[in-house]
Amino acid sequence: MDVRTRTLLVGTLVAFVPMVISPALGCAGEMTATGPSEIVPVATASERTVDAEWPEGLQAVIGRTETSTGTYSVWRVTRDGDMLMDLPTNHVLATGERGTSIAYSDLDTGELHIWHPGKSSPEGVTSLDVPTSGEVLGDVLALSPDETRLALVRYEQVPGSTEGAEEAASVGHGFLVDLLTETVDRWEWLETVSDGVEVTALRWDPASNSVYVSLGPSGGSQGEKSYRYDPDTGESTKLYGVAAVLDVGPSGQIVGLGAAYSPSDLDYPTGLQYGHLPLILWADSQLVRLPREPSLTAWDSAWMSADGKTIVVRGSASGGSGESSCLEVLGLGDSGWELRSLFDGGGLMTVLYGVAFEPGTSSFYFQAGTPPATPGGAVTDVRLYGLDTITGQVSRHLELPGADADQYLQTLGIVGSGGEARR
Amino acid sequence: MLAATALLVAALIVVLVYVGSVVAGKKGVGEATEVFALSIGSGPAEIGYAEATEEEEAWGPWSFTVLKNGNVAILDAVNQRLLVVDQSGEERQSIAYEDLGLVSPVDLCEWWGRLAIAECSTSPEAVVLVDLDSRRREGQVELPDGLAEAGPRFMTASDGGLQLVLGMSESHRVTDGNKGHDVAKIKKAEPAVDMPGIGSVTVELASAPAEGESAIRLTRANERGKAARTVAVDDIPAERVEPLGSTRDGDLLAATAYFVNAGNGVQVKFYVEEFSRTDLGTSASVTVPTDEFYLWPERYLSVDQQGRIWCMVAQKDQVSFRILELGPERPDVTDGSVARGITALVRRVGGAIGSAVSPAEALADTDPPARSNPWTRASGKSVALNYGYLTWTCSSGAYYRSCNLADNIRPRNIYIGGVFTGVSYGWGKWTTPSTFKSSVEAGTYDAGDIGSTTVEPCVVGTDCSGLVSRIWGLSTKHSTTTLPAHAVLLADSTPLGNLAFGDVFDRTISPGRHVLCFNAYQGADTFYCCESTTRNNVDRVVFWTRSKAELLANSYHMYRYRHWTN
Repeated sequence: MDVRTRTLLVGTLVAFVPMVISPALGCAGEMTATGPSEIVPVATASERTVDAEWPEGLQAVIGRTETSTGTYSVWRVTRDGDMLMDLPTNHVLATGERGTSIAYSDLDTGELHIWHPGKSSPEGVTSLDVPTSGEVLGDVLALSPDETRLALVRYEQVPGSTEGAEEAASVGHGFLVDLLTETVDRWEWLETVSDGVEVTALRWDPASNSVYVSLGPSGGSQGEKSYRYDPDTGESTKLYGVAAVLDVGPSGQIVGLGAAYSPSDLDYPTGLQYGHLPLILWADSQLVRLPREPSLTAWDSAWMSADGKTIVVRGSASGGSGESSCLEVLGLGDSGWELRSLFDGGGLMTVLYGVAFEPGTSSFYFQAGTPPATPGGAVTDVRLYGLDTITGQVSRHLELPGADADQYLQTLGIVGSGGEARR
Repeated sequence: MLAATALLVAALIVVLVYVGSVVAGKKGVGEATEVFALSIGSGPAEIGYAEATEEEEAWGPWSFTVLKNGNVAILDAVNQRLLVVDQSGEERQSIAYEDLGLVSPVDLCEWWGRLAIAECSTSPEAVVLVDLDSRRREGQVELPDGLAEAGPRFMTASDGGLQLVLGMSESHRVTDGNKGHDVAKIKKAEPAVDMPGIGSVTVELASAPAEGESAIRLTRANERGKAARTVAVDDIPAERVEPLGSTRDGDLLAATAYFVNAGNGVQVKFYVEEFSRTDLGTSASVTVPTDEFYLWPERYLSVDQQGRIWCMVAQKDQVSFRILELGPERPDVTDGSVARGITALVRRVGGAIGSAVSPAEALADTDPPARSNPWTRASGKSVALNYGYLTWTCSSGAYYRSCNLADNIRPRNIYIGGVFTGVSYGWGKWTTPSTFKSSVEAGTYDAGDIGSTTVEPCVVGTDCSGLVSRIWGLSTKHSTTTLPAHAVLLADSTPLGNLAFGDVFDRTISPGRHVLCFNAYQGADTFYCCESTTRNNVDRVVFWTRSKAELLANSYHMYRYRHWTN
């Protein structure tokens, strides 16, 4: 493999002066900018080596790294270099598909920040206040693919409830943020459906028109019911039979987990005594249970290609060498969805994260590394790889920032060379 | 004969409502879409029809239900058989009533993979459970004392219980067939319904609403008794509104049915409210010729897995099965034209209908774990194995909810008489395995609770942090957010091979706070774990495989207990 490396030195420390936002009067939840204040987030451009095996179809790669000192940063890597932004210790992060805005909330302050990696100070980071009356216990964020809208569900401690043997009682409030006007509006509909259950997933459709919400009980549930909500009209639709939305296709199809109303509704992997919520495709109110490679023993994420004809599922498969993470590829054939391939690294590679399809192509990107030399060791040489979902061919791409042995990174998204991308 | 007395209604047709994905205001009044039709007769995939005689009205199929596999099961009363067909109308099964010990079944529904059939000719009247795969009668659910005489009439099922409407005409009693007692009543003069499974819902029927006033009000109260949502339905004459039913997964569907004399036929209208929607209020109607024969609407409805509502339209030459989408128009009811209203109440999946019964005494859960000294990882593993591999039998007392029905949600994987492995998930609980087993087998406490708003005194089980508290040998139960105080945060880059039993993956932020215990290394990214969880609906302590990458992507962090003595 022809690997070239080059050294990049891009800029110096760049400080961003955020706009501090405070509630506007007379309009519930709507926010306006009031002026600059403290300097908080600091973006850096650091010197590092970049593997020259840059995929032709990609413009940028976005991810997050836990640094060696126990802090976190979010980064955007392009052919020209990489930029990093330190993250608060307690944060929640969301990316879109253009790579020009990355949202993260600081759970300690309650502030919502939007990092624009392509801009310099003071526009580099925008800060928005989210109306919060109690201690913030957590957020769920979903940035629309076009990075103009953000859905946010904030969980606050119920006043008067105390942390003790049980969790402090929490209440979730929904917000819809217009990133163009920098306004934060209450998303009251959300609260009408989330009484007694928690939001387990938030997803936008590829056109950034609708947001999909999955809800379920506490205790690690992936969800048990789902809705589609259109912010422009305020209309909502319950997605019967969909326990959790994993991805949304170009025509509003949903790859998800099917609701189980009895044990017989579960999908039982070979040799296991317990079942999983089945992988399903929902389209026009019709549910189809997707086929599954028999060796697949677990599944947690899925992506649909832009043409709606390919699905990649990340999960685990049992094989001769034991259990390993894998990618299962399903294709839409003449007689419906069919199993195309299952890639588990073949003992040469450990699959870590699925990332996204390259826009307009059959290439799916994922993060993987070299398996530990000895059982129990660390995965090394963590890189971005490409899987041709038609031919099954795997190509090795760039090394990712912070891929040292004492750091941990996750690729969150890619940006296509046309500026559009998929998470 | 009950059948004869019941078959009073002639020449009506049903239309029904699809609530699932319809957005009110987007669609017009829908037409019933026929999926398939069956011929009248006694052969394969035919349904019997008996012409009217001097003694009896015409009659035919008694009820139907759409099964989870998409097939349709029909009580073919004239031919005295249970008929199962697929959605192309092909016969899949035909089982004689006699082979199932049935005499005069009146309604049926699917319940935990079995067919529950309301039988009203036995003494006492009961619900018969049939396994379609083996074509055998598995048993029956006895009705509570004092209610058997009323007989089961209309029925729907969920994993939360079997719901029956008992009796006829003006007074309808609704009960949880499993729970064994009368839990709610609906009367026209007393139109209050408590549906704790979805919060408390009351149906108010205004006695004489003025023009423009709401005739029916549905109020959903949260677990604290505070009204969380009220829906008003306008423009409906009070004497003609009745609650109809609910969708199968939790949202109340209240409908009003009208039978309107349309001159050349009978028009049936439904009005639907769903709490989860912001744009409430939809209806649908259809007019059918009066020479189409009888309708028993309460039993001629079924909801399939996609949330679509089916109706069975029985005519003299065929019986058709249809789906109708709901339109936005409201019923247009003319005084004096109403032939009959529908009264039935079905309920949601999960939870139980019923008024609260006396809560059991709180279990003394403050007993510290039987902690040996020193407390080693082996000690913790022994505790985990006891939780994960405890076998127990579910008694009726453990199955039924006996306090705070609004938030006391039964684990989804248990049923009466079943033998299960693993202590049930019980939010806010950390009951020891031995106490759990003795309590649930004696029926003195409810087994598990996946409702996560309040901690119920009548429940035994353990939640995720309760299990880890026990594994770590703590003297009090901790939560996901307080467990880290006893632990060291491990770097995300820590390889799975460096972990040992008792290390945990903890997500401390809401929503989705959860903690699970590392058990053993499996692969570069996968490991065996032990957790008390609602994942995949297991709702209990389980040993299985998880992915480190998936957990870290979902904001879990790794912690190591500080006080292991090895």
